[in-house]
Amino acid sequence: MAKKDENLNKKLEKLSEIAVWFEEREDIDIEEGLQKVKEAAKIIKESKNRLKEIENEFEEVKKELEEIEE
Amino acid sequence: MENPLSVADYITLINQVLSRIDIKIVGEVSELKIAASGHVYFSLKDEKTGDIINCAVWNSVYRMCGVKLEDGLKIIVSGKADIYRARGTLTFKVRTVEHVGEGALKKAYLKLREKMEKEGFFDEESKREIPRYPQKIGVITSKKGAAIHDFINNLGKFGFKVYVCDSRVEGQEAVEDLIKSVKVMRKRDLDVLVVIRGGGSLQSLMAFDNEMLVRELKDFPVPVVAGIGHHEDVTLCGLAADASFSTPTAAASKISEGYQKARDFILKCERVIERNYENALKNGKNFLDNKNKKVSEYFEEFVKECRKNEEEIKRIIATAKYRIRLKRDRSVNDFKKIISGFSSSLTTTENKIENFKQVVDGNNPERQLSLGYVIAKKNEQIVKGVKGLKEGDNIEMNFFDGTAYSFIKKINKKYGKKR
Repeated sequence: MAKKDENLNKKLEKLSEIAVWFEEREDIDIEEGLQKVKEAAKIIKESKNRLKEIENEFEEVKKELEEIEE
Repeated sequence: MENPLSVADYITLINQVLSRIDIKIVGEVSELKIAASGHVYFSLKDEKTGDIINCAVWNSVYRMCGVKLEDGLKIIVSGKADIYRARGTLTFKVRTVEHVGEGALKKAYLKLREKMEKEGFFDEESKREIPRYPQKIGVITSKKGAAIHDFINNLGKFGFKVYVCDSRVEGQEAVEDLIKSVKVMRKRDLDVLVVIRGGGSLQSLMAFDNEMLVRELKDFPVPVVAGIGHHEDVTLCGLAADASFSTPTAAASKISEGYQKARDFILKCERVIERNYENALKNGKNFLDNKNKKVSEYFEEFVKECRKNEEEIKRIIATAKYRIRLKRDRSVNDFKKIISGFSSSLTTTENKIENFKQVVDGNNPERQLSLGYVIAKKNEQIVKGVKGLKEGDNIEMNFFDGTAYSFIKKINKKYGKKR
């Protein structure tokens, strides 16, 4: 879990860097920009996969059973 | 009643009956005694009649109840009674203790809050950060309440693994259940623990102002989120939780906040990148269009210039052609003249050659030979007369068709004729 979060955080950080790169430049080099766009598209795809809608799972925890185990 | 019961059987019978009577009674504390074991004994006195009943509170219950008993304190106790066999006295076994009336509850709440505040239970520095992307969530609440539905409906679908522990959440009776639930949840591998219930009065929420429960939550191994509704004052559990909200819905939003933010952030970045790169492409296109326009304009200008010069070029070419033709005509004429001169010269030469040929032919010795003349040779020398001969010489006689060899027998010279 922690690793997944770390990866997601890293991806978002990288994505943020790319967005800032685009925001801060008045004249964007088309070729360099294209490389950045490709990189961003890959990160976005991977991050969206991590954040895609997945049904939650529910489990009821029984106190009695737990107590018996004690 | 033919067969009388033994005392023991009778007590057993009474206790069986009494065990089915789980009840709440209200009264005033008197003759309070706290044993070394921690068990508490007191008499609960009827305010109006002065009637009393013996009560016992086991140490664990007393620690859990969160009410500091003292003589004269008006309380509500819940539990069951039984006969203490050794003395034959009836004792009410207290399961819960609570203050009577909102005023007393509030007073107890404020007192406990002050105490726990001093101990640093509610310090901001002591609060742990809620994981940004939690997956395993423990939820303590009542299965029957609306809180769990509100929570689930607002949690979002991010593949959470939700462990729900059903617990009483109403009144003082909920304390024991809640504490058990927390203890059960301790054994689970969780990212975050959530305690939720809907709003209510101070009395109905009193379990969440329980000191022991607060301590359990504060000591929980992972961050705790409280989503406990309240009227005026935040419950002590809410104050001690690492993140506290007044509704289960808000607590659910906190759990999924990281995911929602990540989604929004990605969307925002996506837009920024898309917009800026689109602009860059537009700028690039405009640049190319401008350059293209300039090139077109330059080319048009060039074509105009060329067309302008076309006539001049045509004229120059025409002039050049004329001059070439003129030169060519002259050359042809000159050549014709040369040829003509050469031809004339050739005719003259031919005539000369013919004349010469005739002269040569006329003087050709072979022609003379065919006419009957003979060329005589002596010692390879032509003999032009008898002067070079003497009798007995051998000579060659060359005819037009062959050679004959002769012997000079006699020579007759012609006289008076000189050559």
